[in-house]
Amino acid sequence: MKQTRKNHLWFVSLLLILSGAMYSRSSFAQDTRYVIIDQDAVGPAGTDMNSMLVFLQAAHVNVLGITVLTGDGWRDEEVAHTLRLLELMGRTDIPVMAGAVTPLVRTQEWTHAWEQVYGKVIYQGAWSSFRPKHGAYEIPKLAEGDPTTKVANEDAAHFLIRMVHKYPHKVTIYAAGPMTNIAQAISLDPHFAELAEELVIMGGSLNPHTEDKEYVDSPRHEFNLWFDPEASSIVFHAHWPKITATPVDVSIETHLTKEMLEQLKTANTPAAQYIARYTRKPGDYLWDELAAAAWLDPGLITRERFVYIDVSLDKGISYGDTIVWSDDDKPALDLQKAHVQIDVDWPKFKKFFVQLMSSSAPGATNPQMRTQPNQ
Amino acid sequence: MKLDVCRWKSDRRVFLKTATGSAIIAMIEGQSAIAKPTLFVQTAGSNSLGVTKATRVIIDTDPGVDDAFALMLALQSPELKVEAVTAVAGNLPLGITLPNALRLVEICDRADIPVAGGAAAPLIRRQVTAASAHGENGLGGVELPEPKITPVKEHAADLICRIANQSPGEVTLIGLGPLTNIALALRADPTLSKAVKGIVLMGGSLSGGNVTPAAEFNFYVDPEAASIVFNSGIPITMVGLDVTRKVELTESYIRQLEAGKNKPSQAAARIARAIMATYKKHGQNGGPTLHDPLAVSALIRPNILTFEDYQVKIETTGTITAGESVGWKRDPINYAAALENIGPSSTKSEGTFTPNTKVAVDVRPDEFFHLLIERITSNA
Repeated sequence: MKQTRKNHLWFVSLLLILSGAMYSRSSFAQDTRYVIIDQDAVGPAGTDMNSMLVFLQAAHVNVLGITVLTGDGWRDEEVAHTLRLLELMGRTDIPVMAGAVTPLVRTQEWTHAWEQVYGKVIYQGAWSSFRPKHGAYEIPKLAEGDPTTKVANEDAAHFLIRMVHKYPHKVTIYAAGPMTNIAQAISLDPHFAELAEELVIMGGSLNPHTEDKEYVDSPRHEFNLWFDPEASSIVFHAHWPKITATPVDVSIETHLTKEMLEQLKTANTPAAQYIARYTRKPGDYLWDELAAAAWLDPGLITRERFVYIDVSLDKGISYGDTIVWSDDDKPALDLQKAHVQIDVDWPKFKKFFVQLMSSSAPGATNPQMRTQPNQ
Repeated sequence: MKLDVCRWKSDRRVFLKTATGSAIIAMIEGQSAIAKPTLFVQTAGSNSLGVTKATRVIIDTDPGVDDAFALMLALQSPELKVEAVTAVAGNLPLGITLPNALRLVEICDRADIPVAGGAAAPLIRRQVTAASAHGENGLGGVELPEPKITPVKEHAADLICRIANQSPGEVTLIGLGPLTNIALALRADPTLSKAVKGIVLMGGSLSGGNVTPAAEFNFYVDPEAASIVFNSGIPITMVGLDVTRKVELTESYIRQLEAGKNKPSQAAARIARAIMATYKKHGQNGGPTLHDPLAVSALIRPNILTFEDYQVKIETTGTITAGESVGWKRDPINYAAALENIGPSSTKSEGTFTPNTKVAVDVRPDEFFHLLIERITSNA
């Protein structure tokens, strides 16, 4: 009896050790979140690139790949900036896929004709008159150095589709550029959206409280959704398990301040050094960084609206504008609801961002970015 | 249509290495041995010996009564090497057009040609079909046997990209339905427009539509897709209602088909008879209008049609006119007037005249029907 009991105790303790080990293992597995970053990646530094760093710096996040498309800049130059960023961060294990070069339907020529009737669109990404003029497929010399790594053979849409089938209901699609790549994936595979875990976008604008000339007279206008309205509408009509949007309303509560840049300068990580070295001037909104950070820590958001969302395809003055409805006034269409962020805990986010960039990155090997504090 | 989950597992590179593409090309090369050379010199580039190479085509289609005739004409014509057939939703939903495409390939004994399924709906808009003109089964109610062959796993848009990119400058696309698949392919691969030799399509009209007074059916169904194609820079041959409304199949031609001994002739005659009977029930006389085979004939015997150069754009804006094809013949290229006067030159030209389309403006119907009947009834 005694003997048995001793054996029993031993067995129980073994079981406890084993289950403890299994528990920590399974909890680790649960904590690892899969994400694909879909971006228009104008760099070096700037909101597009910095948002990638948010994911790369985070623990327990598996960035399956980065899909790039024309938006803020032309696709191929953006691909180069992305490859270079991954080299500098020691994350060349992450594949980069090239996607759309133009919107689905909108053309630059047609947009010019539209502007004659309805007025100028201040910011047009790659089409903006203030952007350095070069062809869609030309890659100028990069300030941060030219990449030696290469873009993947697979294109963006097929990569997106392949990943949600490989990890069904586990992959977050983070889309912080125009929606062309995502729409293309949906058109090629009608089950794409439902197989994702959720869609997180930077995009849209509801009622931003600002004097910013881009929004003060066109509060429903936002570049990412405007650039490819048809793609945006395709994306919002798809059946995602969850949609989260970071619109202009909340973006404008954030800035990359001088003080933050000073703090990043003193941090010895490749990420902080990259931002400190290549940010031309402080003051930019943290558009995409916030969308990424709020996915990691939803507690950063202090107010959201849960509304049906779409984009106007009416080719008149509203073309590409964000439209939302509540349950009370929604039309009888198959629309999806989105968690639309309205306010952020700005001090908390500021701290979160600087700390994240200043902490050592989990997956980095041999980063090429030399740390040069006080440069 | 349910997608095969496994279809995306192999990436493009792997696929290119393992795909049956080369095998298919080899088979089709073999088939070209039976081509009757030198007959139709205008069709494709001739070599120094004057031997005409067959034109390599991919047919995107939504069968469809006239699509059925078009597929038979293409598959039985040695001037064309049909690399693949891709199905799209249009005249009927994809669940009907894809099996019909398989049936027609089988009836022509061309099971070697890959058939792929594509878009089940237009890019943006709600699906509109034309069952009233084609019958609920797309073939006038004629029951053709269930297809034994199956579609390839590849999506139509991917297949178009793959085959066109394997032989840059060689492959012509034939679009017989809404242009959704071709638009998806163009956006999936921005270099495709350089790789494709040209697009010959049935669609549009410079003289009024058939769904609305402005728009022809294929462009009406997916104006955004049509707009993508016409903005792509690919040389387009547009065979629209301007000419296709002049090629109605008549009783005497149906009799000639009925006299044909092969499977395609018999199937074509039955479909034509069934459509005539349906029309009669609704108080209309006459047979089906053969829009799509006329477009195919442009690649086989171009002198059946007369072409003029136009700069064509597709209206995607109009509430009443969406899908209208608008053709400019010369400068200036003007768009809608501004709502207010905006200065001394308030009418601003939107660029210079750069023709992107050869529009068929006249047709010799007798020659067309002669070709069509000869090919369908011949034992290719």
